[in-house]
Amino acid sequence: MGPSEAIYSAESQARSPGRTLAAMLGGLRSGRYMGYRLFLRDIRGDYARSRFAVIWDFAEPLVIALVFVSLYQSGVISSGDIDIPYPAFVAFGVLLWQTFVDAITLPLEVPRASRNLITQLKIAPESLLIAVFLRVGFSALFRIAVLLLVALWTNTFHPLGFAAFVALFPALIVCGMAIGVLLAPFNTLYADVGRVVRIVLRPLMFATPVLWAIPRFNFFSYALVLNPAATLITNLRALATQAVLPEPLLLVVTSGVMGVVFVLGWFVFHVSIPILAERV
Amino acid sequence: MSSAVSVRGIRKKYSRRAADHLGYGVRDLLAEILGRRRTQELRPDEFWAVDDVSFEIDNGASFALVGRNGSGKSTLLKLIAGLIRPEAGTIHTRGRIQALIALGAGFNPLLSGRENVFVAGALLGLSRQQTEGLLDAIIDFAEIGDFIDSPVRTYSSGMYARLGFSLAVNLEPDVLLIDEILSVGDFGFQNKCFGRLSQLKKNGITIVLVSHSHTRIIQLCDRALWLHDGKPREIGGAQDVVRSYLDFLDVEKTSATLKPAAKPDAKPAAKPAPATKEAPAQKAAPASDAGESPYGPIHPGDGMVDDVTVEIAHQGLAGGLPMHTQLRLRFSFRLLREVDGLNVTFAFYRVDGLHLTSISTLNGDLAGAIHGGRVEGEIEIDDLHLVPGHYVVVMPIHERHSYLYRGTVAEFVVRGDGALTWGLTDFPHRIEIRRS
Repeated sequence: MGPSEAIYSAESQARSPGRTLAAMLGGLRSGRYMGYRLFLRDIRGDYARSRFAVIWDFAEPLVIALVFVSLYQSGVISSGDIDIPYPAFVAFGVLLWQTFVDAITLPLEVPRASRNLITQLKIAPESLLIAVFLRVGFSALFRIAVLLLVALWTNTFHPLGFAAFVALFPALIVCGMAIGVLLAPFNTLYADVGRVVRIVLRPLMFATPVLWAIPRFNFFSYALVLNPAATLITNLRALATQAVLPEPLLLVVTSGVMGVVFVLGWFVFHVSIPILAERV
Repeated sequence: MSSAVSVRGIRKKYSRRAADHLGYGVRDLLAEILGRRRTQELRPDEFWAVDDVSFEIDNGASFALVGRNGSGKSTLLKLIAGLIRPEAGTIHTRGRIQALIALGAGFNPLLSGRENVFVAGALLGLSRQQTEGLLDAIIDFAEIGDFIDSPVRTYSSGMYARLGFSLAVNLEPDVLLIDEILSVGDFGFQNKCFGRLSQLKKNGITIVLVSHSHTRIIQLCDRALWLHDGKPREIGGAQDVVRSYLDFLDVEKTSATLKPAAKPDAKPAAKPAPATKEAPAQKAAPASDAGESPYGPIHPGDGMVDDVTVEIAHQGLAGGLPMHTQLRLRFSFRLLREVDGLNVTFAFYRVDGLHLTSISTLNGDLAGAIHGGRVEGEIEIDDLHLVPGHYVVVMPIHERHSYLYRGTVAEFVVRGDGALTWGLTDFPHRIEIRRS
């Protein structure tokens, strides 16, 4: 078959994994500029309606952080066993958590939000994923800038540690996207999926070391192993503020597992687009 | 000559009530993910939108899909474009395919036309440099001038569509799939788009066109496929297929009409309609209440007029009237009171409510003062030069300009004679071509 030839049949794409994988990688290549343009379109569209669009990306988590810093300083809550000033702990926690949440929830809505595209144009599904990745990454850039100021203000800034933190930051986005991309096709068919995810995420924040350290040797410490956000947030925060990785093995295992989940989600997303195009 | 598009035994099913069967989607999705074949059986509320369709389109050929709304044309186009997957069969395409299912796909209304051109260009596979190279041609073709830097939401629907079309037809893919988008903009722009498509055809681009404009199909396309309820009904030369399809529509209209004028404004006739040797008379019964219809106000004539009868005198009325026939309308009604300045009008409407013309005694004050009782008359039309279609006759009876009665009194169908017609009327004419 020539490069510009295409065969469409009833056979599931999953029965030709090699060809599907090649199509996924090809889509990643051909969809780069497309994804970038979609990202620019969405960002410019947001900015056309809002003067302070950038601020809103981190205003809510910062307000949450300020509230908890106030509660901490007034003695209402305890931070648990932490090695850095509480304002730095909570600022890193909420901004990393918000990025993780964005990385899950934005892909969930992508097929439905892209209804006009997937029903009218033959585009690489990967371009939609690239656009989401860039959208989450764009917001993350401003959050990282805020965290840099927080680190300087709380005297927890380590140049090398912070540089490594920035380099590893995409892992947090990929980790969140793995879950969002895997569930996105199902959420497109049943909007209940997205509602359940949002309901689960809110209490999960309190069971993750975002606002306080989770004590070891209790139920939550074991649950943390299964909570990829906990591992990533704990390690990224320590890397940025102390230039150490407290749980390197767990970080590697978590990243590896979530990498596999991401590839699986990507595959599911890729093969599901023609099915979703009939039903969105 | 090799095929640009090869369609073999394609079947595609849809659910009539997809919202009630969300589970079908999940089952189909899981089947796709797990490598299973989707079920070939029709589940409750499902139907075959495209059923066992096969055809080939040669490189550089133009091919049309015709058929009524819901016959499967757009679904077939989406299958060829690879947007959706078939339940059975295979589609093989060669060359870069571009589908114009809708204009302005991917546009963000908040962004300027220029920004949207870059977005849409990227979605159609163009790099930034390629889009920049085409930008002037796109703006020129769309005829939107300085508005290119205004937000698209400020565009008229015509401007929006022109920009979308302009972008699409400046790309020159190998195969262009077009779904009923040639009706955008004003007539001048439609001609311009059509001219552009003709140019693309001359450039060797394969075109697959879905359109209800039969003239455009015949002018542009070499071959056509007529789809009916998802099944292929006829495939062949574009002109032959379109003619068969139009004949089918004529016959369908004829069989669906030609019943007594039982319109929303009419009650069953009180007395049997007078029969003639030529055709059954059509009894117009007064409506119970005054009101509106697609053909204007209805006045039942209570206490002023009753027993309105109108007869279309023509042999073979049941099979539809031939074009350019002589038509006679005989009418009769009873005035229940003295009328000073009686007038009778026959208003002719297309069945969708378009008023075509009226014939009225108002132009000669033919009736004058009448002291009640039965009134009879006849109207003769020498040459009924209406195009094939379904028509409705409304009869106002009035005292000077005030209605005594106004109701639907007859319907008739004009059938085609095999010649292609366009618009509303078919002028009696003679065409002479001179060659020098």
